[in-house]
Amino acid sequence: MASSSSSSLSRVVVKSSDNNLFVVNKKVASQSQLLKQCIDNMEEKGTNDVILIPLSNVTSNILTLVLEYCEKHADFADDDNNNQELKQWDHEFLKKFDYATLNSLTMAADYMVTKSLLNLCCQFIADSIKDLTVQQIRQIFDIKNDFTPQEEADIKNENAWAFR
Amino acid sequence: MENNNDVRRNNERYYFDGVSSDVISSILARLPTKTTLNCKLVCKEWCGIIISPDFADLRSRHCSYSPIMLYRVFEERTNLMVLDIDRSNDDDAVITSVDAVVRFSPPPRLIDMTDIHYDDYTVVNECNGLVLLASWRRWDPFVICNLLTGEQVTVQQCSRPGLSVVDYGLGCCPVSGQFKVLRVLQNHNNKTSENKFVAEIQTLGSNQWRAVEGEAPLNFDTLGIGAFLESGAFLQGSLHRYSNLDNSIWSFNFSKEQFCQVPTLDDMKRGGYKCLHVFDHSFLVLTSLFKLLNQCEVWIMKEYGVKDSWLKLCVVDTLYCSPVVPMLRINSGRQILFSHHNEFYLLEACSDVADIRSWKKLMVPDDVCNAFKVMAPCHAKFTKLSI
Repeated sequence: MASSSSSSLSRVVVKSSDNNLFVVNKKVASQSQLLKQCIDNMEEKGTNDVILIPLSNVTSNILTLVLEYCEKHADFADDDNNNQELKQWDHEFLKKFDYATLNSLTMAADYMVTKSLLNLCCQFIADSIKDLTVQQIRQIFDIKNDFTPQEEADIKNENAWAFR
Repeated sequence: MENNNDVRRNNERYYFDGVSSDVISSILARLPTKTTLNCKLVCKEWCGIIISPDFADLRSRHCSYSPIMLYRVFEERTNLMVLDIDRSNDDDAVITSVDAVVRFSPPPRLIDMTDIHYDDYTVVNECNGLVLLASWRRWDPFVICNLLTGEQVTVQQCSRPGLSVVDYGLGCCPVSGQFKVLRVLQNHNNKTSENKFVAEIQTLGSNQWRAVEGEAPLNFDTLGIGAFLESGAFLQGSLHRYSNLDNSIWSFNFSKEQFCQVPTLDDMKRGGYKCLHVFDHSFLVLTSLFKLLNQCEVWIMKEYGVKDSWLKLCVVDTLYCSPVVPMLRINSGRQILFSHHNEFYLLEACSDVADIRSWKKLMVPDDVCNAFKVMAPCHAKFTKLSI
Protein backbone atom coordinates (compact mmCIF):
# COMPACT_ATOMS: atom_id res chain seq x y z
CA MET A 1 0.00 0.00 0.00
CA ALA A 2 2.75 2.38 1.03
CA SER A 3 4.77 1.73 -2.10
CA SER A 4 1.82 2.32 -4.39
CA SER A 5 1.09 5.66 -2.79
CA SER A 6 4.68 6.86 -3.27
CA SER A 7 4.83 5.75 -6.90
CA SER A 8 1.44 7.45 -7.14
CA LEU A 9 -0.22 8.30 -10.41
CA SER A 10 0.82 6.66 -13.61
CA ARG A 11 -1.88 8.04 -15.84
CA VAL A 12 -4.16 11.06 -16.07
CA VAL A 13 -7.27 11.78 -18.05
CA VAL A 14 -7.37 14.98 -20.07
CA LYS A 15 -10.65 16.42 -21.32
CA SER A 16 -10.79 18.53 -24.48
CA SER A 17 -13.08 21.54 -24.93
CA ASP A 18 -15.48 19.40 -26.97
CA ASN A 19 -15.68 16.89 -24.10
CA ASN A 20 -13.57 14.05 -25.44
CA LEU A 21 -11.45 12.16 -22.95
CA PHE A 22 -7.81 11.24 -23.50
CA VAL A 23 -5.92 8.87 -21.24
CA VAL A 24 -2.31 10.01 -21.05
CA ASN A 25 0.57 8.40 -19.23
CA LYS A 26 2.40 10.58 -16.76
CA LYS A 27 5.68 10.81 -18.60
CA VAL A 28 3.95 12.05 -21.73
CA ALA A 29 1.76 14.49 -19.79
CA SER A 30 4.84 15.91 -18.06
CA GLN A 31 5.95 17.42 -21.37
CA SER A 32 3.27 20.01 -20.64
CA GLN A 33 4.09 22.18 -17.62
CA LEU A 34 0.36 22.79 -17.11
CA LEU A 35 -0.44 19.07 -16.85
CA LYS A 36 2.70 18.43 -14.83
CA GLN A 37 1.68 21.10 -12.33
CA CYS A 38 -1.79 19.54 -11.95
CA ILE A 39 -0.26 16.11 -11.40
CA ASP A 40 2.27 17.45 -8.86
CA ASN A 41 -0.49 19.22 -6.95
CA MET A 42 -2.61 16.11 -6.78
CA GLU A 43 0.32 13.98 -5.71
CA GLU A 44 1.15 16.41 -2.93
CA LYS A 45 -2.39 16.00 -1.64
CA GLY A 46 -1.82 12.23 -1.74
CA THR A 47 -4.69 11.43 -4.07
CA ASN A 48 -4.66 7.99 -5.56
CA ASP A 49 -7.68 8.45 -7.78
CA VAL A 50 -7.26 8.97 -11.46
CA ILE A 51 -7.41 12.70 -12.01
CA LEU A 52 -9.31 14.49 -14.71
CA ILE A 53 -7.84 17.65 -16.18
CA PRO A 54 -10.24 19.71 -18.27
CA LEU A 55 -8.69 21.89 -20.99
CA SER A 56 -11.38 24.37 -21.90
CA ASN A 57 -9.33 26.03 -24.66
CA VAL A 58 -8.17 23.04 -26.67
CA THR A 59 -10.28 21.04 -29.14
CA SER A 60 -9.79 17.28 -29.56
CA ASN A 61 -8.22 17.73 -33.01
CA ILE A 62 -5.54 19.97 -31.66
CA LEU A 63 -5.12 18.05 -28.39
CA THR A 64 -4.45 14.90 -30.41
CA LEU A 65 -1.61 16.72 -32.15
CA VAL A 66 -0.16 18.14 -28.94
CA LEU A 67 -0.22 14.69 -27.35
CA GLU A 68 1.39 13.14 -30.44
CA TYR A 69 4.21 15.65 -30.04
CA CYS A 70 4.49 15.04 -26.29
CA GLU A 71 4.59 11.28 -26.80
CA LYS A 72 7.42 11.52 -29.31
CA HIS A 73 9.38 13.87 -27.10
CA ALA A 74 8.81 11.77 -23.99
CA ASP A 75 10.27 8.80 -25.89
CA PHE A 76 13.37 10.82 -26.68
CA ALA A 77 13.60 12.51 -23.29
CA ASP A 78 16.38 10.24 -21.98
CA ASP A 79 18.22 9.98 -25.26
CA ASP A 80 20.63 12.75 -26.13
CA ASN A 81 22.10 10.99 -29.11
CA ASN A 82 19.12 11.15 -31.38
CA ASN A 83 18.76 14.92 -31.44
CA GLN A 84 19.06 15.03 -35.20
CA GLU A 85 16.38 12.41 -35.67
CA LEU A 86 14.04 14.28 -33.34
CA LYS A 87 14.71 17.55 -35.14
CA GLN A 88 13.83 15.89 -38.41
CA TRP A 89 10.65 14.47 -36.90
CA ASP A 90 9.66 17.91 -35.54
CA HIS A 91 10.04 19.43 -38.96
CA GLU A 92 8.02 16.71 -40.71
CA PHE A 93 5.41 16.98 -37.99
CA LEU A 94 4.76 20.70 -38.52
CA LYS A 95 5.10 20.59 -42.31
CA LYS A 96 1.75 18.85 -42.61
CA PHE A 97 -0.35 21.68 -41.23
CA ASP A 98 -2.03 24.68 -42.78
CA TYR A 99 -1.73 28.08 -41.11
CA ALA A 100 -5.06 27.71 -39.27
CA THR A 101 -3.94 24.45 -37.62
CA LEU A 102 -0.49 25.86 -36.96
CA ASN A 103 -2.01 28.84 -35.18
CA SER A 104 -4.31 26.67 -33.07
CA LEU A 105 -1.40 24.41 -32.23
CA THR A 106 0.70 27.41 -31.20
CA MET A 107 -2.11 28.66 -29.00
CA ALA A 108 -2.52 25.22 -27.41
CA ALA A 109 1.24 24.92 -26.80
CA ASP A 110 1.16 28.33 -25.15
CA TYR A 111 -1.86 27.44 -23.01
CA MET A 112 -0.53 24.03 -22.00
CA VAL A 113 2.94 25.48 -21.37
CA THR A 114 4.72 23.06 -23.68
CA LYS A 115 7.68 25.29 -24.22
CA SER A 116 9.61 23.29 -26.76
CA LEU A 117 6.52 22.91 -28.95
CA LEU A 118 5.77 26.61 -28.62
CA ASN A 119 9.33 27.52 -29.67
CA LEU A 120 9.13 25.06 -32.53
CA CYS A 121 5.85 26.57 -33.79
CA CYS A 122 7.12 30.14 -33.50
CA GLN A 123 10.30 29.27 -35.42
CA PHE A 124 8.30 27.43 -38.07
CA ILE A 125 5.90 30.34 -38.55
CA ALA A 126 8.79 32.83 -38.63
CA ASP A 127 10.63 30.76 -41.24
CA SER A 128 7.55 30.54 -43.42
CA ILE A 129 6.78 34.26 -43.41
CA LYS A 130 10.30 35.63 -43.66
CA ASP A 131 10.25 36.06 -47.44
CA LEU A 132 6.70 37.36 -47.72
CA THR A 133 5.49 40.88 -48.40
CA VAL A 134 3.56 42.89 -45.83
CA GLN A 135 0.38 42.29 -47.81
CA GLN A 136 0.91 38.53 -47.88
CA ILE A 137 1.62 38.46 -44.15
CA ARG A 138 -1.57 40.39 -43.43
CA GLN A 139 -3.52 37.90 -45.53
CA ILE A 140 -2.09 34.85 -43.83
CA PHE A 141 -2.77 36.14 -40.36
CA ASP A 142 -5.96 37.90 -41.42
CA ILE A 143 -4.72 41.15 -39.96
CA LYS A 144 -6.36 44.41 -40.97
CA ASN A 145 -4.11 47.35 -41.72
CA ASP A 146 -4.99 49.74 -38.90
CA PHE A 147 -2.55 52.52 -39.81
CA THR A 148 -3.68 55.86 -41.15
CA PRO A 149 -2.07 56.69 -44.51
CA GLN A 150 0.11 59.23 -42.70
CA GLU A 151 1.36 56.73 -40.13
CA GLU A 152 2.09 54.22 -42.86
CA ALA A 153 4.00 56.85 -44.83
CA ASP A 154 6.02 57.74 -41.73
CA ILE A 155 7.17 54.17 -41.18
CA LYS A 156 7.93 53.71 -44.87
CA ASN A 157 9.98 56.86 -44.66
CA GLU A 158 11.97 55.50 -41.70
CA ASN A 159 12.60 52.35 -43.67
CA ALA A 160 13.52 54.23 -46.82
CA TRP A 161 17.23 54.09 -46.09
CA ALA A 162 17.09 50.42 -45.71
CA PHE A 163 15.22 49.64 -48.87
CA ARG A 164 16.80 51.70 -51.54
CA MET B 1 5.03 57.22 -34.12
CA GLU B 2 3.28 59.90 -32.20
CA ASN B 3 0.62 57.63 -30.70
CA ASN B 4 2.77 54.87 -29.35
CA ASN B 5 0.70 54.51 -26.24
CA ASP B 6 -2.44 53.74 -28.19
CA VAL B 7 -0.91 50.73 -29.85
CA ARG B 8 -2.15 48.13 -27.41
CA ARG B 9 -5.42 49.76 -26.43
CA ASN B 10 -6.89 50.20 -29.87
CA ASN B 11 -5.68 46.93 -31.18
CA GLU B 12 -8.23 44.57 -32.60
CA ARG B 13 -7.42 40.89 -32.93
CA TYR B 14 -8.45 38.91 -35.93
CA TYR B 15 -7.10 35.58 -36.90
CA PHE B 16 -4.73 35.57 -34.01
CA ASP B 17 -7.55 35.95 -31.55
CA GLY B 18 -6.39 34.29 -28.37
CA VAL B 19 -2.71 34.17 -29.18
CA SER B 20 -0.95 36.17 -26.55
CA SER B 21 1.17 39.15 -27.39
CA ASP B 22 4.13 37.15 -26.04
CA VAL B 23 3.68 34.52 -28.72
CA ILE B 24 3.57 37.12 -31.47
CA SER B 25 6.71 38.72 -30.01
CA SER B 26 8.35 35.33 -30.01
CA ILE B 27 7.56 34.85 -33.71
CA LEU B 28 8.72 38.34 -34.68
CA ALA B 29 11.95 37.94 -32.68
CA ARG B 30 13.00 35.10 -35.01
CA LEU B 31 12.80 37.05 -38.27
CA PRO B 32 15.72 38.40 -40.31
CA THR B 33 16.53 42.09 -39.87
CA LYS B 34 14.98 43.24 -43.12
CA THR B 35 11.75 41.28 -42.65
CA THR B 36 11.49 42.69 -39.13
CA LEU B 37 11.70 46.22 -40.51
CA ASN B 38 9.01 45.30 -43.03
CA CYS B 39 6.79 43.83 -40.33
CA LYS B 40 6.50 47.23 -38.65
CA LEU B 41 4.09 47.98 -41.50
CA VAL B 42 1.77 45.03 -40.83
CA CYS B 43 -0.32 46.60 -38.06
CA LYS B 44 0.02 48.81 -35.01
CA GLU B 45 0.41 45.92 -32.63
CA TRP B 46 3.29 44.36 -34.56
CA CYS B 47 4.95 47.74 -34.92
CA GLY B 48 4.54 48.37 -31.19
CA ILE B 49 6.20 45.04 -30.36
CA ILE B 50 9.12 45.61 -32.72
CA ILE B 51 9.95 49.11 -31.54
CA SER B 52 9.57 48.34 -27.83
CA PRO B 53 12.84 48.35 -25.85
CA ASP B 54 12.35 44.75 -24.67
CA PHE B 55 12.34 43.43 -28.21
CA ALA B 56 16.14 43.59 -28.65
CA ASP B 57 16.67 41.30 -25.67
CA LEU B 58 14.06 38.81 -26.89
CA ARG B 59 15.62 38.89 -30.33
CA SER B 60 19.10 38.21 -29.02
CA ARG B 61 17.77 35.09 -27.31
CA HIS B 62 15.71 33.67 -30.17
CA CYS B 63 17.01 34.99 -33.45
CA SER B 64 19.43 32.92 -35.49
CA TYR B 65 20.36 35.90 -37.66
CA SER B 66 23.32 38.03 -36.64
CA PRO B 67 23.93 41.28 -38.43
CA ILE B 68 27.40 42.29 -39.61
CA MET B 69 28.13 45.88 -40.53
CA LEU B 70 29.92 46.82 -43.74
CA TYR B 71 30.79 50.20 -45.14
CA ARG B 72 32.32 51.96 -48.10
CA VAL B 73 32.67 55.46 -49.44
CA PHE B 74 31.11 55.57 -52.87
CA GLU B 75 30.42 58.57 -55.06
CA GLU B 76 31.24 60.88 -52.18
CA ARG B 77 28.86 59.14 -49.86
CA THR B 78 29.43 56.93 -46.90
CA ASN B 79 27.42 53.79 -47.53
CA LEU B 80 26.67 51.48 -44.65
CA MET B 81 25.25 48.05 -44.94
CA VAL B 82 23.93 45.42 -42.58
CA LEU B 83 24.29 41.84 -43.72
CA ASP B 84 22.39 39.11 -41.91
CA ILE B 85 24.37 36.00 -41.14
CA ASP B 86 22.28 32.89 -40.54
CA ARG B 87 24.04 31.21 -37.63
CA SER B 88 21.85 28.12 -37.56
CA ASN B 89 22.24 27.07 -41.15
CA ASP B 90 23.76 23.63 -41.47
CA ASP B 91 24.67 23.74 -45.13
CA ASP B 92 27.13 26.64 -45.21
CA ALA B 93 24.54 28.97 -46.72
CA VAL B 94 25.22 31.43 -43.95
CA ILE B 95 24.83 34.45 -46.14
CA THR B 96 21.27 33.83 -47.09
CA SER B 97 20.68 35.98 -50.13
CA VAL B 98 20.92 39.44 -51.57
CA ASP B 99 17.69 40.04 -49.72
CA ALA B 100 19.51 39.57 -46.45
CA VAL B 101 21.12 42.91 -47.02
CA VAL B 102 19.94 46.17 -45.59
CA ARG B 103 21.67 49.04 -47.32
CA PHE B 104 22.04 52.58 -46.18
CA SER B 105 23.36 55.67 -47.74
CA PRO B 106 22.78 58.76 -45.67
CA PRO B 107 22.09 61.93 -47.65
CA PRO B 108 25.24 63.95 -48.44
CA ARG B 109 24.12 66.98 -46.49
CA LEU B 110 22.59 66.62 -43.15
CA ILE B 111 20.19 67.85 -40.53
CA ASP B 112 20.64 70.78 -38.20
CA MET B 113 21.73 73.17 -40.96
CA THR B 114 25.18 71.74 -40.45
CA ASP B 115 27.04 71.38 -43.68
CA ILE B 116 28.27 67.87 -43.39
CA HIS B 117 30.13 66.19 -46.20
CA TYR B 118 29.73 62.52 -45.67
CA ASP B 119 32.75 61.69 -47.75
CA ASP B 120 34.90 63.12 -44.97
CA TYR B 121 33.34 60.74 -42.52
CA THR B 122 34.34 57.29 -41.54
CA VAL B 123 33.03 54.68 -39.12
CA VAL B 124 34.62 54.70 -35.67
CA ASN B 125 32.68 52.06 -33.82
CA GLU B 126 29.29 50.46 -33.28
CA CYS B 127 27.61 50.12 -29.91
CA ASN B 128 24.24 48.49 -29.26
CA GLY B 129 22.90 49.33 -32.69
CA LEU B 130 24.23 52.89 -33.00
CA VAL B 131 27.17 53.80 -35.20
CA LEU B 132 29.62 56.61 -34.51
CA LEU B 133 30.96 58.43 -37.57
CA ALA B 134 33.77 60.94 -37.32
CA SER B 135 35.30 63.34 -39.80
CA TRP B 136 38.98 63.59 -40.72
CA ARG B 137 38.60 67.30 -40.11
CA ARG B 138 39.49 67.82 -36.52
CA TRP B 139 36.59 69.78 -35.04
CA ASP B 140 33.78 68.66 -37.27
CA PRO B 141 30.81 67.31 -35.34
CA PHE B 142 30.47 63.61 -34.68
CA VAL B 143 27.52 61.91 -36.35
CA ILE B 144 25.69 59.09 -34.63
CA CYS B 145 23.13 57.10 -36.54
CA ASN B 146 20.81 54.21 -36.04
CA LEU B 147 20.74 52.36 -39.30
CA LEU B 148 17.41 50.68 -38.65
CA THR B 149 15.40 53.74 -37.73
CA GLY B 150 17.10 56.23 -40.02
CA GLU B 151 17.92 58.52 -37.10
CA GLN B 152 20.97 60.77 -37.23
CA VAL B 153 22.23 62.88 -34.37
CA THR B 154 25.16 65.25 -34.42
CA VAL B 155 27.43 65.94 -31.46
CA GLN B 156 29.20 69.26 -31.77
CA GLN B 157 32.90 69.25 -30.92
CA CYS B 158 33.43 72.91 -29.89
CA SER B 159 37.07 73.60 -30.75
CA ARG B 160 39.44 74.19 -27.85
CA PRO B 161 42.58 76.31 -28.36
CA GLY B 162 45.81 74.54 -27.52
CA LEU B 163 44.17 71.13 -27.54
CA SER B 164 43.71 68.51 -30.19
CA VAL B 165 41.48 65.46 -30.31
CA VAL B 166 43.47 62.25 -30.24
CA ASP B 167 40.79 59.63 -29.66
CA TYR B 168 37.06 59.09 -29.47
CA GLY B 169 34.47 56.37 -29.24
CA LEU B 170 30.83 55.60 -28.61
CA GLY B 171 29.63 53.69 -25.58
CA CYS B 172 26.53 52.88 -23.64
CA CYS B 173 25.95 52.72 -19.90
CA PRO B 174 24.63 49.23 -19.18
CA VAL B 175 22.72 50.52 -16.16
CA SER B 176 20.92 53.57 -17.55
CA GLY B 177 21.01 52.58 -21.22
CA GLN B 178 22.28 56.08 -22.03
CA PHE B 179 24.59 56.48 -24.98
CA LYS B 180 27.72 58.55 -24.45
CA VAL B 181 30.57 59.80 -26.59
CA LEU B 182 34.09 59.80 -25.15
CA ARG B 183 36.86 61.99 -26.52
CA VAL B 184 40.47 62.28 -25.45
CA LEU B 185 42.24 65.62 -25.99
CA GLN B 186 45.95 66.28 -26.02
CA ASN B 187 47.16 69.43 -24.30
CA HIS B 188 49.87 71.04 -26.42
CA ASN B 189 50.49 73.87 -23.94
CA ASN B 190 51.63 71.53 -21.24
CA LYS B 191 55.16 70.37 -21.98
CA THR B 192 55.46 68.17 -18.93
CA SER B 193 54.08 64.69 -19.09
CA GLU B 194 51.50 65.41 -16.42
CA ASN B 195 48.00 66.31 -17.51
CA LYS B 196 49.03 65.90 -21.05
CA PHE B 197 45.76 64.21 -21.88
CA VAL B 198 42.25 65.24 -20.91
CA ALA B 199 39.24 62.97 -21.32
CA GLU B 200 35.75 64.36 -21.82
CA ILE B 201 32.39 62.73 -22.12
CA GLN B 202 29.04 63.77 -23.52
CA THR B 203 25.74 62.03 -22.82
CA LEU B 204 23.72 61.94 -26.01
CA GLY B 205 21.12 64.70 -25.97
CA SER B 206 22.85 66.77 -23.29
CA ASN B 207 24.91 68.90 -25.71
CA GLN B 208 27.54 69.25 -23.04
CA TRP B 209 31.06 67.92 -22.68
CA ARG B 210 31.98 66.97 -19.13
CA ALA B 211 35.50 66.32 -17.88
CA VAL B 212 36.09 62.72 -16.86
CA GLU B 213 37.06 62.77 -13.24
CA GLY B 214 40.39 61.41 -12.15
CA GLU B 215 43.38 61.28 -14.37
CA ALA B 216 43.80 59.05 -17.33
CA PRO B 217 47.07 57.33 -16.41
CA LEU B 218 47.48 56.21 -19.94
CA ASN B 219 49.63 56.89 -22.85
CA PHE B 220 47.97 57.92 -26.07
CA ASP B 221 51.23 59.12 -27.57
CA THR B 222 52.10 56.54 -30.14
CA LEU B 223 48.74 56.44 -31.78
CA GLY B 224 47.60 58.93 -34.34
CA ILE B 225 43.89 59.26 -34.93
CA GLY B 226 44.05 56.79 -37.77
CA ALA B 227 45.22 54.06 -35.45
CA PHE B 228 41.97 54.17 -33.54
CA LEU B 229 39.62 53.89 -36.41
CA GLU B 230 37.86 50.61 -36.82
CA SER B 231 39.43 49.26 -33.69
CA GLY B 232 36.91 50.29 -31.05
CA ALA B 233 35.88 47.19 -29.21
CA PHE B 234 32.85 47.83 -27.01
CA LEU B 235 32.32 45.00 -24.54
CA GLN B 236 31.26 44.67 -20.90
CA GLY B 237 30.08 48.29 -20.83
CA SER B 238 33.56 49.49 -21.79
CA LEU B 239 35.37 50.70 -24.85
CA HIS B 240 38.80 49.12 -25.41
CA ARG B 241 41.95 50.29 -27.15
CA TYR B 242 45.36 48.77 -27.61
CA SER B 243 48.53 50.79 -27.09
CA ASN B 244 51.62 49.64 -28.96
CA LEU B 245 53.90 51.70 -26.76
CA ASP B 246 53.60 49.56 -23.67
CA ASN B 247 51.62 46.58 -24.94
CA SER B 248 48.63 47.56 -22.86
CA ILE B 249 44.90 47.60 -23.34
CA TRP B 250 43.07 50.46 -21.71
CA SER B 251 39.34 50.47 -21.33
CA PHE B 252 36.84 53.14 -20.44
CA ASN B 253 33.80 52.08 -18.47
CA PHE B 254 30.72 54.08 -19.53
CA SER B 255 28.82 53.39 -16.34
CA LYS B 256 31.51 54.34 -13.81
CA GLU B 257 33.07 56.78 -16.30
CA GLN B 258 36.51 55.52 -15.37
CA PHE B 259 39.58 54.33 -17.20
CA CYS B 260 40.87 50.85 -16.41
CA GLN B 261 43.34 48.42 -17.83
CA VAL B 262 42.83 44.96 -19.21
CA PRO B 263 45.87 42.72 -18.63
CA THR B 264 47.92 41.51 -21.58
CA LEU B 265 50.61 38.85 -22.01
CA ASP B 266 54.23 39.67 -22.81
CA ASP B 267 53.99 37.31 -25.77
CA MET B 268 51.54 39.67 -27.39
CA LYS B 269 54.15 42.37 -27.58
CA ARG B 270 55.86 40.81 -30.58
CA GLY B 271 55.70 43.17 -33.62
CA GLY B 272 52.79 43.62 -35.91
CA TYR B 273 49.98 46.07 -36.43
CA LYS B 274 47.46 45.36 -33.70
CA CYS B 275 43.74 45.78 -33.55
CA LEU B 276 41.05 44.91 -31.00
CA HIS B 277 37.74 43.31 -31.94
CA VAL B 278 34.77 41.71 -30.24
CA PHE B 279 34.19 38.08 -31.19
CA ASP B 280 30.68 36.61 -31.03
CA HIS B 281 29.46 39.57 -28.96
CA SER B 282 31.29 38.12 -25.95
CA PHE B 283 35.05 37.90 -26.28
CA LEU B 284 37.84 40.41 -26.65
CA VAL B 285 40.11 39.52 -29.55
CA LEU B 286 43.47 41.02 -30.53
CA THR B 287 44.74 40.57 -34.06
CA SER B 288 48.39 41.20 -34.75
CA LEU B 289 49.35 41.60 -38.38
CA PHE B 290 52.92 40.96 -39.50
CA LYS B 291 52.93 42.82 -42.75
CA LEU B 292 56.28 41.56 -44.06
CA LEU B 293 55.50 37.95 -43.28
CA ASN B 294 51.88 38.15 -44.49
CA GLN B 295 50.95 36.51 -41.24
CA CYS B 296 48.33 37.25 -38.62
CA GLU B 297 48.21 36.18 -35.00
CA VAL B 298 44.80 35.98 -33.39
CA TRP B 299 44.55 36.17 -29.61
CA ILE B 300 41.34 35.61 -27.70
CA MET B 301 40.59 36.44 -24.06
CA LYS B 302 38.49 33.49 -22.96
CA GLU B 303 37.47 35.06 -19.68
CA TYR B 304 37.09 38.81 -19.61
CA GLY B 305 39.73 40.55 -17.47
CA VAL B 306 41.63 37.38 -16.62
CA LYS B 307 45.22 37.62 -17.82
CA ASP B 308 45.88 33.90 -17.99
CA SER B 309 42.84 33.32 -20.13
CA TRP B 310 44.48 34.91 -23.19
CA LEU B 311 44.89 32.18 -25.75
CA LYS B 312 46.48 32.19 -29.18
CA LEU B 313 43.54 31.11 -31.33
CA CYS B 314 45.58 30.78 -34.50
CA VAL B 315 48.50 32.04 -36.55
CA VAL B 316 47.40 32.37 -40.14
CA ASP B 317 49.23 32.92 -43.39
CA THR B 318 47.21 35.64 -45.01
CA LEU B 319 46.42 36.53 -48.60
CA TYR B 320 46.33 40.26 -48.16
CA CYS B 321 47.84 42.78 -45.85
CA SER B 322 44.83 42.88 -43.56
CA PRO B 323 43.98 41.07 -40.35
CA VAL B 324 42.09 37.81 -40.09
CA VAL B 325 39.22 38.56 -37.73
CA PRO B 326 36.96 36.01 -36.03
CA MET B 327 33.41 37.37 -36.12
CA LEU B 328 30.79 34.87 -35.02
CA ARG B 329 30.35 31.31 -33.94
CA ILE B 330 27.88 29.58 -36.20
CA ASN B 331 26.18 26.18 -36.47
CA SER B 332 25.93 25.83 -32.68
CA GLY B 333 29.59 26.69 -32.25
CA ARG B 334 30.86 24.05 -34.63
CA GLN B 335 32.28 26.65 -37.00
CA ILE B 336 33.77 30.13 -36.80
CA LEU B 337 33.08 32.84 -39.35
CA PHE B 338 36.18 34.95 -40.12
CA SER B 339 36.57 38.04 -42.22
CA HIS B 340 39.73 38.81 -44.16
CA HIS B 341 40.03 41.66 -46.61
CA ASN B 342 36.30 41.95 -47.30
CA GLU B 343 35.89 38.25 -47.71
CA PHE B 344 34.28 35.70 -45.44
CA TYR B 345 35.80 32.39 -44.45
CA LEU B 346 34.51 29.45 -42.48
CA LEU B 347 36.67 27.30 -40.27
CA GLU B 348 35.77 24.27 -38.16
CA ALA B 349 36.15 25.45 -34.59
CA CYS B 350 38.49 22.65 -33.54
CA SER B 351 40.70 22.61 -36.61
CA ASP B 352 44.06 24.33 -36.82
CA VAL B 353 44.85 25.12 -40.42
CA ALA B 354 47.43 27.84 -40.65
CA ASP B 355 47.02 28.89 -44.26
CA ILE B 356 43.94 30.86 -45.18
CA ARG B 357 44.14 29.56 -48.73
CA SER B 358 42.91 26.23 -47.47
CA TRP B 359 40.00 27.73 -45.54
CA LYS B 360 36.52 27.54 -46.89
CA LYS B 361 35.76 30.83 -48.62
CA LEU B 362 32.15 31.92 -48.70
CA MET B 363 30.79 33.10 -51.97
CA VAL B 364 29.08 36.44 -51.62
CA PRO B 365 27.20 37.80 -54.63
CA ASP B 366 29.34 40.53 -56.22
CA ASP B 367 26.69 43.18 -56.08
CA VAL B 368 26.23 42.61 -52.36
CA CYS B 369 29.62 43.41 -50.96
CA ASN B 370 31.24 45.15 -53.88
CA ALA B 371 33.95 47.40 -52.47
CA PHE B 372 32.38 47.24 -49.03
CA LYS B 373 34.68 46.88 -46.08
CA VAL B 374 33.63 44.30 -43.51
CA MET B 375 33.51 46.06 -40.15
CA ALA B 376 32.21 43.98 -37.28
CA PRO B 377 29.25 42.04 -35.93
CA CYS B 378 26.71 44.62 -34.83
CA HIS B 379 23.37 44.86 -33.06
CA ALA B 380 19.90 45.54 -34.40
CA LYS B 381 18.17 48.37 -32.59
CA PHE B 382 14.59 48.92 -33.76
CA THR B 383 13.80 51.33 -30.94
CA LYS B 384 14.21 55.03 -31.49
CA LEU B 385 16.56 57.07 -29.34
CA SER B 386 14.84 58.71 -26.43
CA ILE B 387 16.60 62.05 -26.49
